[in-house]
This record gives sequence, structure tokens and C-alpha cells, in this order.
Amino acid sequence: MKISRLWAGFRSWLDERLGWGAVLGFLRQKKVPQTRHTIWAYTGSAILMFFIIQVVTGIILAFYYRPTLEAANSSVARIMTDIPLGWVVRSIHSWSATFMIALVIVHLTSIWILKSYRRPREMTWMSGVLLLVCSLAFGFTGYLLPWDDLSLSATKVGTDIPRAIPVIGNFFTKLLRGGEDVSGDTLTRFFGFHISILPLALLAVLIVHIFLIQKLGMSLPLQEEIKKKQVREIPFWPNFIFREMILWLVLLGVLLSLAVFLPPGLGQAADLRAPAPEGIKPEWYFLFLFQTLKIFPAHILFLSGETVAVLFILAGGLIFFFFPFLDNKPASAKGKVLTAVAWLFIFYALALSIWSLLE
Amino acid sequence: MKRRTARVGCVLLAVLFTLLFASDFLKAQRSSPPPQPAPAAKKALEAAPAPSKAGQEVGPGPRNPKERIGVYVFMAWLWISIIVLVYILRAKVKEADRLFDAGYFKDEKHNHSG
Repeated sequence: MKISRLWAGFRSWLDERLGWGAVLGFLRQKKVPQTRHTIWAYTGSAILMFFIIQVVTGIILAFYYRPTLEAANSSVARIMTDIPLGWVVRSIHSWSATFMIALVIVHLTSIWILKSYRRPREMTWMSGVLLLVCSLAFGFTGYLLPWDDLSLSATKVGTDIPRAIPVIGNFFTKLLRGGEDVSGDTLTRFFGFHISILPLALLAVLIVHIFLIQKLGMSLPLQEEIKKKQVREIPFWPNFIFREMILWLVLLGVLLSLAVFLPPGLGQAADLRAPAPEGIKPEWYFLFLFQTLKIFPAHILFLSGETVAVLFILAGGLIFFFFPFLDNKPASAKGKVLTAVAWLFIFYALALSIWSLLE
Repeated sequence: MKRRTARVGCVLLAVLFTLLFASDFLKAQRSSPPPQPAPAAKKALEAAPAPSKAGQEVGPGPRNPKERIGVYVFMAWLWISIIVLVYILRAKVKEADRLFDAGYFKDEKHNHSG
């Protein structure tokens, strides 16, 4: 009796100061369609959960990490050996990055296939693609920070790719590296991007994305739009949130289990003069792009194969970003060809990633 | 009455788990080694890689057996608490769905109840 009274008193105290009740009322008014495709909607909040984990573990790692040529590798080694539970924190940071990027890809792919990007949700899609770009940039900049042989070589290869773009390519590579080659300046620059510019950019886009979702609501799956059937809707709070919490808990358990049982190692400190080791591969989410660059011939007509491949990838990225304007049919139109294109792309990305892994 | 009992139960469980986590971790994290380690523990400590120096590869995972055991105990408690919480949340989902179907949330008077 006393606990419930105390709780009620605390809630009314909070409500008086924060307008908590109005927020709860809004969340209760907000409805979520419940169909067999609703499962894909849960991935959005799970991404947010992994992002928060990334921020918290990233702050802890930043207390000990030193972004200099001499100290970067040894400071990561110190985190893994001397700092209590430092290896777990680093492992959680690494695994949650993987989970976050995987879920962003799953989330975007589900929206692509369900055609939820159609009018009026074009900007929601575009902000989602920007969030994917930010997540990939996080992965790319974070990969260099341990400053071991593998991360140095992968960054050398990765930052060399923009050179193939005509006119602005060289400038872009120099901008990324902070000079002609990968050096201590690149490390400092990547660290700056990783802990300040990218989080700010991601947060800004995330606010826009969440605002758009709140404003426009969740879209109905294509089949339901076509059938014009009345779909069951449940309140966001508490019905939908409780369901999401179950997923968060399970994902948290899986994340911590993987972090404890499969923690990442650390290679030897990078030597700028050493030749690149054999079999350099980027992180799994870049594998299909890496393999795409490899399968292009050395020369196509009067252009180098690499230039054509990079332009091809850039064009693909732009088409992906502006996809809602290419498929601007009404929400209930089927668009079977575009669905086939989406599945073809998924198959292509999977096949090339597996090919790259097996090589 | 049932809800209140469930709430009190949840709070007690949370306190119990927190105390158990804390005690496990405090035990595992104590920096001073025991005066005479058991032969098996001594062997494991010797087998563990030496603290890193620049230019050496660093193997992943806990450095000493105490930390390792502490982390594994934590994992066991974590999964137990996840299972309990998922069970409670499933019950809450069912309850929320039942209340929604009964039209409880349509009543503005109940907007502040959780």
C-alpha cells in the first residue's frame, strides 16, 4: 500500500514538473498497425538501443584511448589487459556496431521491399539512407582506431578508392587522409570524425527521422493497402512498447553473450613502412563493394576499370537515395519489377560477400 | 492486490539480483591475489598471456581466472533475469491487449495509469 502511494506521489510530482502525463497520453493516442509485417517495425527501436550502447561504451573507451601514432595500439592493448573489464567494453562496442549496421540494413531492406518509402514518406526513407551512410562511416573510421596491421592496410585500400573518381577524387582522398598517405594525421582525423562529427551528424538526422515517423506514422504493408482492409491498430504505449522491450532484452542478452564469448583481438602495432599483409579484407558490410571493385576489368574502353566501378557504385548509391522519386506510384500500386530489382540486389550483395569471404 | 504483489515481487527480485551481481563482481574484481593460489589457478595464471607491450598481438578475453569466472557467473544471472523479465513482459503484453480490447484506454480518465 505504502509503495503504491509513494509511486503515485512520485508520478504526480514528475507530472507537475515535466508534463509526463501529457507525453503518456500522446503515446497512448499514437496507434501502430498490427500486421504480420509489424516485426520489421521493431528493428527501428532496436537500432536506437544499439546506438545508445555504442555511445555509452564509446565514452568509456575514449577515457583510455589515445589517438596518436605511438600510443593508439598500446592504449587499446591497455584497455584489453590492464583496465578492469576493458576487454568486455571494447567487445560490446565492436559487436554492437555490427548489430547496429546489420539492423539498419535489415530495416532499410524491409522498407524497400514493403514499399513503405512511397508518398508521403520519401523524406523518411532519405533520412534512413543517410543514417545508413553515417553508420557505415562509423564502422570505417572506427576500424582504423586500434592501429594494427590489418586496420592500417584496410584503411589504405579504403581511402585510396575515391582517387578513382575523376576531378575531385584526389582531393577527397587527401581530405580523408590528412595528406598524401595514411599517417598519424589520418588516425587523429578519423578519431575526430568517429567521436564528434559523425555522432553529431547521426543525431541530427536521427531527430529528423524520428520526427517524420511521429508525424506520418507507420505505413501499412502493400497487401493491406491493396485490400483496403481495416487493420487492427494497437496503442504505442503500453502495448507496442512492451513488445519492443522483449526484443530489446533478448538482443541485449545475445549481444553480451557474443561480446563475452567471442571478443575481438588486437593485432601488432601498425608499421607505416611495412608492406601490406596478404588477404586484406574490409568489414563484412563492405565486402560486396570490395568484391565489386575486384571483378571489374583493368580497362573499359578509354577509362580505367576502377573508375568505372567507383562511378557505378556511386550511381547505385544515388539511385538508392532517390528511390522514392523513381517509384512514385500510389501506395497501393504493386510495382512487381521494383520488388524483383530489390531481391536481385539483395542476392547480388549476399553472393559477392560470400565470394569475397571464400577467396 | 495481485498487481501490487507482483510489483513488490519485481522490486525484491531486482534488489536480490543487484546484490548478487554486485557480490559476484566484487569478488571477481578484487585485485589482490590470494596468498597461496590453488595449483590449477596458478597454472592458468602462468598460461595467460603477459601484459601487452607495443608491437605484440593481444589475445582477446579475460586475463585471469577470477575475472573469467566472474564474467561467466554474470552471464548466467543475466540470462536468468532476461528469462524472468521476458515472462513478466509477456504477461504485461497480454494484460495491455486485454485492456485495449475492452476499451479501457478509450477512457480519458485512465490516461495516467500505467
